Amino acid sequence: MSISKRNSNLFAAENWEVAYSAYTNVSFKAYDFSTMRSAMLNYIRENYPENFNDYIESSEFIAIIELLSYLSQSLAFRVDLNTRENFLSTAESRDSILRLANMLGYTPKRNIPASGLLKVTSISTSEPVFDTSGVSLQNQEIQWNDEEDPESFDKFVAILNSAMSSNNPFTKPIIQKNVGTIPTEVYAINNQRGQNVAFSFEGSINGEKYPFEIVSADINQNNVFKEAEPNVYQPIRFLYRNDKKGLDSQNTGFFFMFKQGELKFNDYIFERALPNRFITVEDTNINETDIFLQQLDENAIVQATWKQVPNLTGQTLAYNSLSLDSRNVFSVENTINDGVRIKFADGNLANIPTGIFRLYYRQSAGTSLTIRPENFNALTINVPYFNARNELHNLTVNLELQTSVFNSAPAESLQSIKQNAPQTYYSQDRMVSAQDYNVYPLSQSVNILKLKATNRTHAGHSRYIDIEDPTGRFSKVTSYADDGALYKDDEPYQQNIIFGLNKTETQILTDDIARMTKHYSLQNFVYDDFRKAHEKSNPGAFNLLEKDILWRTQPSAPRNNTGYFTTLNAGTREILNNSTNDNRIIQEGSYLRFRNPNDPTEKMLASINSITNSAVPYNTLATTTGVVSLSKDIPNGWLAYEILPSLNAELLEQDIGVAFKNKITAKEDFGIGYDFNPINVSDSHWYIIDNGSLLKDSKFESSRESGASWIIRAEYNETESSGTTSKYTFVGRGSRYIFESLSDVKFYFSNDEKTYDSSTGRIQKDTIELTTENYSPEIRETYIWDDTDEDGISDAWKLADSDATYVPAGASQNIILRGRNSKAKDMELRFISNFGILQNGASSISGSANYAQGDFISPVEVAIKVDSVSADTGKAVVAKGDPV
Amino acid sequence: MATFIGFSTDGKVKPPFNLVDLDLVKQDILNQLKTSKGERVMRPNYGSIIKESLMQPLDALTKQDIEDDCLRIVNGDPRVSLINLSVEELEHTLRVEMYLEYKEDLSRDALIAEFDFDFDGENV
Repeated sequence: MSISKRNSNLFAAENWEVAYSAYTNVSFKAYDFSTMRSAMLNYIRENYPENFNDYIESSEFIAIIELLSYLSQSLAFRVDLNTRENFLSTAESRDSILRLANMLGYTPKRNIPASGLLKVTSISTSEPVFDTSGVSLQNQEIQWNDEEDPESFDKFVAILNSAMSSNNPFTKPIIQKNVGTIPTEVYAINNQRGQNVAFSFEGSINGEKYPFEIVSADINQNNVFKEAEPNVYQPIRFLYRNDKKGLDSQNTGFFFMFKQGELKFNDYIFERALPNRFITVEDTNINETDIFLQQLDENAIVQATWKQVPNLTGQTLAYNSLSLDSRNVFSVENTINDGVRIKFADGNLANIPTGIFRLYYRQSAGTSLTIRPENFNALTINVPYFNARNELHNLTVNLELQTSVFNSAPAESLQSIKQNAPQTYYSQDRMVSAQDYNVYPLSQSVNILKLKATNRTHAGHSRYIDIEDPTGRFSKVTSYADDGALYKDDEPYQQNIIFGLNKTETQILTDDIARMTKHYSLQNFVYDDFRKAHEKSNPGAFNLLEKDILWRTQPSAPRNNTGYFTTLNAGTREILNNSTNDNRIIQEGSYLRFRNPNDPTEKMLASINSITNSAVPYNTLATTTGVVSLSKDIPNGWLAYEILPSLNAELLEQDIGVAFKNKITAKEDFGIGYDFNPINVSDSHWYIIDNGSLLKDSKFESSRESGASWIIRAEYNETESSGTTSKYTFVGRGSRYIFESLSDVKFYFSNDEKTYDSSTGRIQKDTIELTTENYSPEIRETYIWDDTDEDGISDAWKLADSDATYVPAGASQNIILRGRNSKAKDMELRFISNFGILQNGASSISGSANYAQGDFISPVEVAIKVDSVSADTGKAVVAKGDPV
Repeated sequence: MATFIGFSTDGKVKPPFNLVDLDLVKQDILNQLKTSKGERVMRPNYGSIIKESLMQPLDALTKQDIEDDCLRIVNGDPRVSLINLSVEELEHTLRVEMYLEYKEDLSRDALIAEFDFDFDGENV
């Protein structure tokens, strides 16, 4: 035997030839008991047939092989299991997934607690507090916005002021910020210290009881509500919000903040500086938001608050002490079932904790809860407080939830962690690439279920250019064109109504006819033709300057959309009452033009949404909601100088209810007119025009005595009526405005492809802006006065770019226009001739008339006459207006 | 030349561990008799009920069960056929005697297995 071969035998494991030879006989597909057993038996059959053939299950050797197969299967399973648990995509154990996510610097989200605001509906105090009248409020329950007590607000504030710190009474808040556009102030109760950091109560949701706590409220730097850091030596804070919609608004009043869960704390004493210390909290279901770590002195007074670092890549204990501007930092790792492990730093870039520490944490439900107002029944808390004389009293506060709360969420699911952890690691805590935009937000909230960010730019696009998506789906598209045209068409609106079926005449009047008055075509008519007709017959009909109407905001505010009007009556300023004859022009639905009395260039337009109590306020208190509601906030004291009346359908029944029914019963045709400002006391706004005086086909006339003043007319259809039913056709005057583009822009409407505004959730609409106005027509046809029979005398109009000729006949030019699909206003007819044009002032053709020689551009509808004398001489005259 | 070649360490402390033909078959049957049901990995039905029956009164019913079980085990081995079977109770011992015929050469031999009640081991 050669030395090399002997060495190979001795060091078989190291000899690749031996190993290679051995592996050729190994079945690497065998992992389970049966395949292992088969593989080994096959091996024996092939290699040792002369030494063993006792292949029966009772054979000892077979038993040994099966035992080996069993062990191999067990080992293979464990190796496989351990391997799978080491990869995020295949791991199944929550512990493994949390560890793997932690390795990637990703902290899975624990559960989010439900939180919200509870409105204070009533309060009472054991302290003898007196109102402005000197009446004691002791042990009296004062309701918020008590309609029977106009001084309830003052009493409310008096009690609260007594319970609050004298440094921060009402109107002198500790913090004042806008939260979601609503001005919000933070106040504190001078409550008994050292006792409560929160007030517990129970809520029953879907038959299950959950613990809740009223916590001290605060506003963070992003103007969002947050829980103030728990501290038994700090006063409990609450909020005052005022959305300026009156005291009965859901968002106006005093509020306490609540959170679902139970606040707990653990105290720790760290006697020596141990680098990389960690502490594990044994409790489960600890929520994501409420972990506070405080360093205390020996009297349990808070000395410092340690800050939590996100523990993301690039934001670790060792790295972010600079960004947080503090070396007192800690990170939180999750353990299974929403437990936490608090980790501290090694002392190099952040401090090692030593001394007494208190960790506050809140255990929450860990599920998604929908909390409705009825889930908190008869919620009352008692807050012991010290008044200004340092006497201990008790404040009783009754609270109500105003709107449903559904902001809680369970802990991040394993599937979500497996998806988000590698993506977050990829994005490195920043959003740069397109993929970052698609994945990073998912790591920030468990409430994002689906996310899609679309790349709208590409290499070569300058960052300084406003990128536009040409499809219009993701960005605004501005198309410039110079061929836009706006015109108005008459568009009567027609509706057939059968009386005698399931609706009464009154119901039809207040439903169907009222709906007709709101149809856009009739509205267009009212704001244009109707208005112009009244202006023409009665110049200044819509001018309100004589009445000197001023807007008064109520509740009192520099500007508001509720309030009332005052007017000047015989030199005396009084409250406007729109039921009096002088002021009936002020009606719901009408638009008012306002201007600043001190600066007439400042103007605003608003519509009247509603008027109650004939626009006369119930009282003029600063806190009462006004009787007039406008569509937008108008500054107090502004002058209403013009009105744009609209049809007030609310008055239909009271004005013409009886007459309407009578006409239907009589099966007569009739008209319905509207007088926006009846002069006579006995006249109503709406009126009926009898069939005898109704002028069905006439243009609108403004005078209510005219039969053409109808805006809706009713025609009885006898043939389709029966003894019990009457079919009427109601025709409303109307017009529509059409904007078109001849070729530059194609407008199309697709109901299937709506684009939603992500911030408002509403459908986005296109707008057309006119940068300049251009009254020039788009289509031109030029006709030349031509000598077609070559007799030296011109005799026909010849189209400039073809050989078509048209011989005039009397007043008619006999010209067949080519632009048939166009509106007349879009066309320009140009006549080139050697005859004259009557200038302004000359009304007829005569030898002495003022002629102008040359080209003539005519609107299509103007008739042009070539008189016989001129035709003989080859000359003609053109007259604008009536043909001569 | 032997038809069946097998392996057994039963009662041996050093090689050779080879067994052939009827001796091998007897050892295989004995292996199963000495194994309780559920004792062997992955084969819950392998084994005999004899050990579980030791503490039962050896009445006719139990005896019949043991005989049926022995018959099942022998019939499970196609290399032999059972000529005679007896189950007897001795002092602290259950004795199973089988008289087997080896089908290859029609030779016959007895298989005797004794099971102590105190579970210290079996005497064959």
